Amino acid sequence: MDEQIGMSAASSRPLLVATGITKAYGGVVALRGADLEVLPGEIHALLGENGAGKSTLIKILVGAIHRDGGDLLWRGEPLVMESRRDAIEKGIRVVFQHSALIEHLTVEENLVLGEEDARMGWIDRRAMARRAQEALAELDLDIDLKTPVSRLKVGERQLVEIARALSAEGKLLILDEPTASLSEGDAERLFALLRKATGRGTAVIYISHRLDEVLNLADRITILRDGASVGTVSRGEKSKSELVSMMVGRYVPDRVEDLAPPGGDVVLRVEGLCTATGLTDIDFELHEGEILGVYGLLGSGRTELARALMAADPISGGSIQLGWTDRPLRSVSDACDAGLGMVPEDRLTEGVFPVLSVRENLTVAAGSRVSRGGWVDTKRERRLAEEAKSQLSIVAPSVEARISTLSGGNQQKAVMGRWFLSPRRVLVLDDPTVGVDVGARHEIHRLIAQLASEGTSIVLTSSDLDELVALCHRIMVLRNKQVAGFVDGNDLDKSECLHLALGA
Amino acid sequence: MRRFTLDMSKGLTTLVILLILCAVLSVLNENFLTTANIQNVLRQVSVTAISAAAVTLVMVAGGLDLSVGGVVALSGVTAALLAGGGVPLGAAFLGGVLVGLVVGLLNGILVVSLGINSVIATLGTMSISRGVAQLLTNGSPVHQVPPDFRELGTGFLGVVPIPVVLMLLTIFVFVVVQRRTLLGKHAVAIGSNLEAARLAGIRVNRVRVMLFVISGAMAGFGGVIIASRLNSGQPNAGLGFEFAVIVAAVLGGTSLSGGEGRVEGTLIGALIVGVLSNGLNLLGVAPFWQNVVEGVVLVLAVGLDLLLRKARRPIGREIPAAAASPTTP
Repeated sequence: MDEQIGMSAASSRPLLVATGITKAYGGVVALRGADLEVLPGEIHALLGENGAGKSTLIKILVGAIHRDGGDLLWRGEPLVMESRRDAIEKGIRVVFQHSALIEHLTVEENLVLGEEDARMGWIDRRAMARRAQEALAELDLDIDLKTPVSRLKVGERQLVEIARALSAEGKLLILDEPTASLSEGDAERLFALLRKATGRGTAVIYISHRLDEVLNLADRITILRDGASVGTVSRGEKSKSELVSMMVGRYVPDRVEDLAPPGGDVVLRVEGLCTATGLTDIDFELHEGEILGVYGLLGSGRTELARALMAADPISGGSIQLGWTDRPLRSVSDACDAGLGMVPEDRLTEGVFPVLSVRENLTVAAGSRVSRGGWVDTKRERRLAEEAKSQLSIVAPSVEARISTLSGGNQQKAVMGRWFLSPRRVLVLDDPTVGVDVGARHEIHRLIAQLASEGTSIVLTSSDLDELVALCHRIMVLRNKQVAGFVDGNDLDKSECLHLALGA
Repeated sequence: MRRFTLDMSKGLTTLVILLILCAVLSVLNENFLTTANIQNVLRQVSVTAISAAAVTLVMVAGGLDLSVGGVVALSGVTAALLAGGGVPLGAAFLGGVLVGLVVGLLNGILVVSLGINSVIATLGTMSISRGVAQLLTNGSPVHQVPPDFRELGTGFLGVVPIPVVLMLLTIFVFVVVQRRTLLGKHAVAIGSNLEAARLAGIRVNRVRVMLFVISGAMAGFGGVIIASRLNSGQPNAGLGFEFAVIVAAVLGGTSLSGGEGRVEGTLIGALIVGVLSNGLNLLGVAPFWQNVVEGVVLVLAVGLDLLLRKARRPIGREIPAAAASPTTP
């Protein structure tokens, strides 16, 4: 056994070998035989579509859930994995896709959580502060240690979590979509750090939906499809499109070609918009059927703009006018009544209703379409939900399944599906494909294009420039919560956007 | 093969517990299954269930209403004073309900507009309303009521006590409200994820205030029934009532963290509490022990439910915390 592994792994002995891992949740099979072999000092990427089983596999590897079957070997020895503690003691570190930080505690307290410096139960504040400072310094992060985590942006939280995982000198570091909410600069810093860590012999398991990133970073790539491993390839062995077809079994084009030109009517006019959240003097117009991209680095004001447009945060100056009504928008519900709709950035805390069914999640905003005088027509509600499920190809056992049992991409489709059930004139999509795999991402792009061609005007903010270039009529670039400029024309120029965003 | 699932939120565990409890008591004591005793148990349960139906909706939306015990006293006293003062009976009863509604509105304003945690806000109004009830009566019961005052609480429709009829009607209405109205749908969405509900365009403040108002009114209605049954306005009525109401809801599968709970489950929860207390009486268990037993049953039932859920879920995931300790008076 040992010899065999040694041979397949070229020179060094594998750190971790998983063979034939199976796992089912109730009746839903998440893994039906996943294999993975990780060598010390390598960056090993896991690729796969939504529901391919990546998240389940890593949860098993870190002891967050129990496997149903299969073998785990750690340096050739069977790995006992009863709880998270077992994994932590082995030096297995993980940064999950969704923040595991404690909101009420400060950055510093979170950085050392569970490993506080203490002497006989008394906390050594100075040692703690020093260690936290070092962890942040290594990532070159400019965040005040005393800031409560609840005040951090999604991207900053992600960086703090990565700092925490990296500071602990683990043997195996697992990152699930670490760059989903990072700007390009922050992502580069992360990559440099990962290479440094692997230089010390730490192995990294890296999950990302950004193929370019994976191709640049990973030494080897294991592809999962439908809960089983399709194969493991080394760097440079397969092209991007070959990898994609391994993931989905078919070729997925990235560009939306059939984008209809926008109409002439202005549906949204923003003039001199200022908010307490820091936006300053924002001016733009949105036309009927237009997809306006909003690009900017972390902290540039993308989310602040999305929230201000929906009246989720109050505005302190300037105006937001709709083309078809003069009614003032004082709350999100006013905005929704007027015909606006939003897909929030943070799916988990602002998008889904985790304990509710897919049906309830889909129909939550469809008040007037499923009810009359406050009475809900449950048959109609169910039918509409079924229709939306198939139209958006949401993968779920039924519309009555709990949404939290679905994969991230399918949850996101359900959140978007709300606005298919009750059509809007303006949709504000705040980074709708964060943490969503290639297949689902393409479907979401298709849906956005379809909505626009039917006359819905869309404000699409994204941290992914490729997405905006593929999908938008025009891109507005934000920097420091101000408009840095617009990029339009038939060929949206990526580098121009980046230059504007960086102020270079 | 479909697995047989035990889950309180499906109402099955509690129904089984209730049936077992009834079976055991009918074997242990010959008086349990008599018409008179069944009428007695159901009548005692009725007011709890009427109030708990509304409180369930508040809890599903992520709130808690502890003020119901104080409201029961205040509205009962109000109805008795009004009726004793010559106000027509119907209007006097309505007055009692309205007082409850006003306290509910106050709860809604405190929780929604001022942002006070609902446990604290309603703990405050619980004390305030009982205090006002005592002030109005100088601490002593109001016995001067017209002769037909007691009809609502003690009368019968055939063999069924009138409070039981009212309870069944109330439960029916609330089941329909929960399943078939936007109010019910929006309540569960708010309890599941307040911010997501707001961003989906739901008027969360309006819904939450409305639920508190309804809860206050139903507690007021319960207070009127109790006053009528006692044929007097008792400023000390409903002591520990909030405990019974919340136990009923929690036993019925309502999650204290919101998003989960059914009115029909709450009815079963209320029945368990009522049958248990009746059984302990019949078996001659000392009253002090009854408190102990009721507390143990609550903790055991919720603990068992959590264990069963855990067995079916991956570890490391948050379990909707029906375990967070309910605040007892």
